Amino acid sequence: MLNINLLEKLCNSYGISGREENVRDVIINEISSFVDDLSIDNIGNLIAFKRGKERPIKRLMLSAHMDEVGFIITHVTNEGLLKFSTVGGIDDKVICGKDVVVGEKQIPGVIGVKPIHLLNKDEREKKVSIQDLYIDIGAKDKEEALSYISLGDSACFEKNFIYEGNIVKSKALDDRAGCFILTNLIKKDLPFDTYFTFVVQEEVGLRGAKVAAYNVNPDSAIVIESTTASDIRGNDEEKQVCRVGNGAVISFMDKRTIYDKDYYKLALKLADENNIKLQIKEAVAGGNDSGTIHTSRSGVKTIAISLPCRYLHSAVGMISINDLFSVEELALKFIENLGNC
Amino acid sequence: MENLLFRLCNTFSGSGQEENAAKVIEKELHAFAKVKTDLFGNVIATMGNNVSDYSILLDAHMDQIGMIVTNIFEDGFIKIAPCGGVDCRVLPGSMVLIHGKKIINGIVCTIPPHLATQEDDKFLSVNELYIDTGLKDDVMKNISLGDRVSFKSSPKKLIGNRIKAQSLDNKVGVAALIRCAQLLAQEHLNIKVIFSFSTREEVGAQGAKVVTFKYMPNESIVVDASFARQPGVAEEKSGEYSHGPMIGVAPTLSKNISNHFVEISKNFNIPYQIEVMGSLTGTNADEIMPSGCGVRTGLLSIPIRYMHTPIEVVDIHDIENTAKLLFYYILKGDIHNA
Repeated sequence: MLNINLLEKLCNSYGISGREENVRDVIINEISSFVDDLSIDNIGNLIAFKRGKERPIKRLMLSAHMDEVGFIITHVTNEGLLKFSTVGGIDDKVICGKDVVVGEKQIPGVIGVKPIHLLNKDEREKKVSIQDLYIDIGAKDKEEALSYISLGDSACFEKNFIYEGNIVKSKALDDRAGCFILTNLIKKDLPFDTYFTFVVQEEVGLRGAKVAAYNVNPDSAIVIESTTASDIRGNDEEKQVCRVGNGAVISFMDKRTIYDKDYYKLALKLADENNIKLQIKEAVAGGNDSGTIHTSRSGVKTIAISLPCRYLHSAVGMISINDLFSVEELALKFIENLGNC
Repeated sequence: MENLLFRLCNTFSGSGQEENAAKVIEKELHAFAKVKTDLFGNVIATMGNNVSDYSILLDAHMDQIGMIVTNIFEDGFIKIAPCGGVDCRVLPGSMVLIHGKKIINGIVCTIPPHLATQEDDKFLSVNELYIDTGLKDDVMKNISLGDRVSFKSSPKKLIGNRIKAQSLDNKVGVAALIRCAQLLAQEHLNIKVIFSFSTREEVGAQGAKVVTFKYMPNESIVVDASFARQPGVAEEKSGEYSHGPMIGVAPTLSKNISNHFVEISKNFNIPYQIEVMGSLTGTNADEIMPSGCGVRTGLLSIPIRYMHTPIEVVDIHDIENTAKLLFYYILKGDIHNA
């Protein structure tokens, strides 16, 4: 059964890298009665242990990251405008004219641009550098701005969750959709004991997963992540990478990981045997927490099962609920299988 | 005022499709003005002495910039053209609303940074962009060529007295006129006052043109949005927030009216600032002034930031003060000698 309200709550939570507390609270509240052990490690990762029917031969860990891309306030101008850095990889081109919320008090703000009327012809389509952008919260000067926000406060794209026609459009689907899938798995009766980690700071270099993998010390790991679907009109077919609606995505290699061959083949086999929609990522691009998990300690056999998501790292992404179920199903089949080998 | 502005900004009124905003405006005014709609969809509300031989036309355009559907594809994507001066830089990766048989949510396509192959420092123009609804059946059933598309951006209060919304250009002007009408409703008027909430300003001011011809007023005041000070915008091209209405001064505007506004502001302690333009004003005033046998025309502007984006920002006091200045101008001004 689809608990769309939980997915909405997760996506609507504000939490850039290093500020994942709100997301973590939602998850703790959701899973605490379903797990046998729950802890928060030194850097904020949430580590859950759930007993299954049997003890597995090897220790298995499933992981999804809690953080989202966003901004951090670096300076307040005398006019009361907030200068910022991006947190995680955000294209300069998706920032202008967006609504954001700033800080723990969730102060609304906007990222303004110079009016089109006052631009010369060259400027009209020219990229605006982040250095020239700022967040306007309506403050009349620096003093007023600083009475509402502080340097180092985070800013996120404003929540905008919509579910219709089995499609979800929202900010932060990367990787709250992964967190959602993990919470769904935790609520099931599992065949084997499993560790679930909800990790911090993926978007700034896969840092949380590195520590979580050290702490859990798994033999096998499955990363549940949202990945770059570019099956959009105007984009050549060979550049589409993966497609929304075509099922779970597995990858042979990305910028951070050459994936375990056995697990790659196992994914194909399990999908085939169980009629789970599966597609292979048609690019060596991006990277996810597998990058630091598979090299943890003396090495971890790792696979990423990904959810195709359009417009990743912008103010609004798009996923299909059918794909989300495919990822969840395949992950469950992996747990069933890996416990015995 | 805040509620009124929110009601107006929550009502989409793309150029040529202003019907819903017309209904909202009519509802605000019908209790104390005679309201009708003309061939172009302009809402005209008259107050005061109907048999007076002196009439003044107060104009604010009620349309807003947006986009218009030019292609529909079976896989749930559509293409668009601008309907008014849309800034293409604010579109990629944002949500829009397609105003078809029902309202459909779409995302303006963009390629994620993970897949960027080269440093591309240009935005795609509005005509080159695709909108992704993700909904195949709904698109074919509910969207037709020519449907309007708006940003998806609800009005919101920022800190202080500032409001963020799309279509503040020119719902601020509409709000000021409605407020002025409310104030005038308490007074006895010797002259005829015609309020015009005009259509299609953003695509060439066709609405104001036909209204003026029909009523041929003795004078006209246009209220529109202008640029508020922000980084990158020159001081001489912008007004300051909270400093009151910007009184327009231009070769094409009546100097007497401009001077008169200044005088009234001083007499009634209303903050004001002067906006000087070298030739045309870029507002309905440019069409109204040379209509028929000519109309003496004045212009009041309300400063907003980030014009023609989903996140325009205004200081609400400036709207209130604009309404007040208009009110005193009509009530106490020596209009016949203007």
